[in-house]
Amino acid sequence: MNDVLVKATDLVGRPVVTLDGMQVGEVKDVVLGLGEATLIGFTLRNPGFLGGPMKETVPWRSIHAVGPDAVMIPSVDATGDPEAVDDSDAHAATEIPVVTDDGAEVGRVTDVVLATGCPPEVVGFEIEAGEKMPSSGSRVLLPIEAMRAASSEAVVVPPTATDFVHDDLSGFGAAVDRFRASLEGDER
Amino acid sequence: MEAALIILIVVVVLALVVAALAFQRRRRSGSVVTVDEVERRSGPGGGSA
Repeated sequence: MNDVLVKATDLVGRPVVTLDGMQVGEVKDVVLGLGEATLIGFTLRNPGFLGGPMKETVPWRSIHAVGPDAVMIPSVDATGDPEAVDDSDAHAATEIPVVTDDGAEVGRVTDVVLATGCPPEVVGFEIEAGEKMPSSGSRVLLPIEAMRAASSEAVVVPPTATDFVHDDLSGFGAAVDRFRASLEGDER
Repeated sequence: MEAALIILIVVVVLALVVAALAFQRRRRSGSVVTVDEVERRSGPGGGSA
């Protein structure tokens, strides 16, 4: 996996800047569609201490790049259309229990790991490991399948996913690749 | 009497400032949220591959 991996919470507060250098706002909410493991887009807030929420949103199709210091969009026209990233029915993505296919809870979601390719994809979760994990109580990264069904109620992963947990983002992309390759091998 | 009135006004103003800042802080706080993207995809520009 060559895409840059970021934790979704790290994107909150990141400036949203046009390619000609104008800051249009900051990321307020990172809106995910866990059912198909995709990034829907961002809601925005005005920059500065007293800046409140903005009506404009940034759907993922309008994102030019997600860099380490800013989210780049082609122009101011890329924002707008509040309906495109409507988070009025949204649920917090954290605290969702993660269970295996055979019903064992492995932990609870504390963050979401995104691959910032095109399209951006949810590739894993940071979880607080449950009692049945060797690293119980600590936060680890758990890979998920491509287009894996999940909901605001639970994330279901194959039991083998726990064999590919990782402590930090460096090397986690390779762990995701190995995990997904192992699933493809099982299907053959 | 006047001193008590001034103190009361100052306290009320301070309470309003604190409440306004707390409200602003709550509105500014961001989060990671999930939505049902089936609904979103039916909307204009709804984002899924």
